[in-house]
Amino acid sequence: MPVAEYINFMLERMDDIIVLTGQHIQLSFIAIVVAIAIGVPLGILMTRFPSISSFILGLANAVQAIPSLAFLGFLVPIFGIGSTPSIVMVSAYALLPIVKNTYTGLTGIDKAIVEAGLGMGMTEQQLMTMVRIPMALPVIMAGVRIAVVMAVGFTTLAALIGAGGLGQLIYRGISMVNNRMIVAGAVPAMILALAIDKIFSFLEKAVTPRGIR
Amino acid sequence: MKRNLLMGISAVLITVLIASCGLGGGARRGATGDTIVVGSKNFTEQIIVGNMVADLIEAHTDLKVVRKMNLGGTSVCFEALKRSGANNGIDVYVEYTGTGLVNILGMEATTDPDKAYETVAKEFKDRWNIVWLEPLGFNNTFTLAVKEDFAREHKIETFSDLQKISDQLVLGGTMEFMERPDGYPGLKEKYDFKFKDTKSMDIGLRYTAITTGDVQVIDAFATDGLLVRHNLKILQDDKHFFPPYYAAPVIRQDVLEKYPQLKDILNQLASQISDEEMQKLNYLVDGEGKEAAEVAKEFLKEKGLI
Amino acid sequence: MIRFENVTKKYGDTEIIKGISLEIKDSEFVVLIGPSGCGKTTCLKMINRLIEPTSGRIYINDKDISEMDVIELRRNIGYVIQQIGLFPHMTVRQNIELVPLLKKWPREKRAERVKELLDLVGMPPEKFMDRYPTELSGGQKQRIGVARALAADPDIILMDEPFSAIDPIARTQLQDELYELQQKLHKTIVFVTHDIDEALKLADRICIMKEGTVVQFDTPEAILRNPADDFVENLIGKKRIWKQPEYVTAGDIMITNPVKALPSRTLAQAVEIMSESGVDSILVVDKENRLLGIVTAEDIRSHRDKAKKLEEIYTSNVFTVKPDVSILNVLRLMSQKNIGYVPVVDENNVLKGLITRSTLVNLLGGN
Repeated sequence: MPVAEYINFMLERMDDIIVLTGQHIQLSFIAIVVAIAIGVPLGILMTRFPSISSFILGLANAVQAIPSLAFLGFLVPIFGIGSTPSIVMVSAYALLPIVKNTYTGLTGIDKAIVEAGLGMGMTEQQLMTMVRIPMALPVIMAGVRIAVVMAVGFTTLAALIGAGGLGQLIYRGISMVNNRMIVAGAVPAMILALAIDKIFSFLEKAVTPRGIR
Repeated sequence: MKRNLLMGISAVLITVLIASCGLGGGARRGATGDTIVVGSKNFTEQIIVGNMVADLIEAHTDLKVVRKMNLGGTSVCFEALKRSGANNGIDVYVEYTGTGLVNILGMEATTDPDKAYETVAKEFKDRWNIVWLEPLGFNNTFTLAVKEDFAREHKIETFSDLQKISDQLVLGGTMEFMERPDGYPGLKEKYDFKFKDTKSMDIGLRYTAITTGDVQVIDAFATDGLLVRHNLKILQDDKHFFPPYYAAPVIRQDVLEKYPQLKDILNQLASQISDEEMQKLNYLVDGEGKEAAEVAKEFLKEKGLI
Repeated sequence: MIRFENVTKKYGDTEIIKGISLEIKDSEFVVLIGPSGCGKTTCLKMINRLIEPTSGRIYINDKDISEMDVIELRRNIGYVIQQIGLFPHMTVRQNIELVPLLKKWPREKRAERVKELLDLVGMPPEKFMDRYPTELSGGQKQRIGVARALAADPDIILMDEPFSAIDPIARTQLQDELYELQQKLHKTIVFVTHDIDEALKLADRICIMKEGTVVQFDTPEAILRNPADDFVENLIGKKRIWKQPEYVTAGDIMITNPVKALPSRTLAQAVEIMSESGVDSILVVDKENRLLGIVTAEDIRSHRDKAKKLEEIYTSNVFTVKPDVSILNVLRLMSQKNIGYVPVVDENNVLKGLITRSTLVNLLGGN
């Protein structure tokens, strides 16, 4: 199986690949934004109400443990087919690393620093916004980075519920026993994951305050 | 400071909500107008016949057709149909009588094709207000296949022939086949198969597995185009275990009421595709790499339906 | 004025503060000291309510602090902890202006205050203002810590072992600076330490604690002269000169590495050695370290020929003492003979050390 054959096939399908990659990016991106919008506040909430933290972490862990296909099957009756259930599933999977890293980032701060803040008369909110969050930001971003790479991977499943994305080529290729088609879907997905990982590792550095780099 | 944070978070949330509505709502908004959403499962035959259904509607009505092909399996399609195209689901797809009877209704299998069709038609109507249109003609039943030279060597024609040497063989089946009551569990009991080992795998991977010799027997669809390409022989179900799997469009009653012309349009397909024809169409896609949508369109033109 | 009234603190069944009553006056520098677990840090943190007492009351200027707004209370009390208490993600400027920012001072006033405070702690603002804590030495961080506590000009400053993680040389300097600062600012300072030297050096009054009770609360002089019990006596052990100077011997206080030279050295070399060590006399010893005599800078100046050997000019007539002689006798000898230094030798005339006038002055000065 000469490589040229694969490359030709990809060039032939370039229009498809570009459209599907676009869908893939859109689906993963929305899912990750939802996961951040839910996960970070949840992580913050856990530091304020430690009694719920193990419950929430357990829940996020449990969600992660649901097999992805079963999860999809469970979501279709609720959300139908298309992008909504895909986004719901991918956000649910992406939640754990975000919640976990937010929580550990916020609680892993040196006790002395927290005490200094309180001793100087910061309110809990001020301590959160002025000290905990800025200091935890690198850890939170590391969680987001893991979540994003996961999201790009899980979004291939979107093809199974009619939401498109690169999974369409992969699953079509598998059912047609067409390796070229599988590769035409898998390679862009892999490149996407690597590129996004790079972008986020850069962002991770960018949000790290200079004093704790 | 806290207020800023909260406002930031809510701004993000609102943006996301709007964005996801925009994404998911496309089909929904259209469907409340004059849109029909056609679905299919995720294997070649389904995508071909799904496209046929879509092409016919497009050719003979002014309705806008949205294609949701390649959905991950029976349950996704059926759940989507129950919701309707106007509600993030679909309005019509092609289902098999045997699957409807055993998988969806959870009833006993039957070997009588007419009885099977009558039962699913009645039950789907009563339970979900879903209508079975006329069958397309082919019977994509489950079957077992072995390599042609292997069959010649061991003089195997029927399932009963296979049973005699089954203790030396490994069976590879789709995950669905290995689990369904009308699949391997029932088959094993009926023929007393004693396979050395069984392996579940994805649809396409069975062919790879039998080619490399990891398994000697696979489950197959009678109309599967790849059987030809991989030199596989279909064995006879001499005790008639597998129920018939005649394919027919299933459509929501409310859609039919709104667009009564759809019934006649889709029934043009009735008995138009024989087992051989379906197998050939499948081969054009799986074996020769043609686009399923094109293969469907060509066929309809040939038959003078569009 | 800070007043504790029957303050107790229990964690579960363990009572770590057992009914403390004490009064700290305005502008007073009070040091809380005692072994770890004695409750000194707990007492400190109860003043800004980081820890709430189980029973009893604490008053600041006759107001019960439990009835005050806790945030307001803390913003009006300076708080210094070990160097890690600086926020690592904030610059020096941001760290210092934090409390003024919390108190919503206008920007210009904050900027002015930061400069003022950096000048006060001897760190040029233009050089340090925009640095991060990781870019500072331990001593510098602690100065910023003090500046931060002073930022909103609080009347009371709490300091929790602020200098404990700093190397001894920088620590001595910081203590001196803090002392001078206090002479200028007259704050009410409550300072926790486990280092008795630090306490004696800084405190107006020392509060010695043990197992949740106050053992003795008095001026350093009074504590040194009249320790309340064996515990206090042990704590101040090294400082027993205040109580029984006759038991302190020459061996205890002598400099153990005095500047010395062999008699074969030339005068030029001797001058070099003295100037290097910053002394004005040199002890002459033989190869077995037995004391032969002494040569002063003045002796050398009176000889033009610097190629001469020490053995030609040294004074062998030197007053010496043995290591076990009481320092009272040494003092007496020095004042009677009007000499500035006394070598300490053993019975074989081997040189052990040297006592100079400045050794004694330092000692009697409390340090």
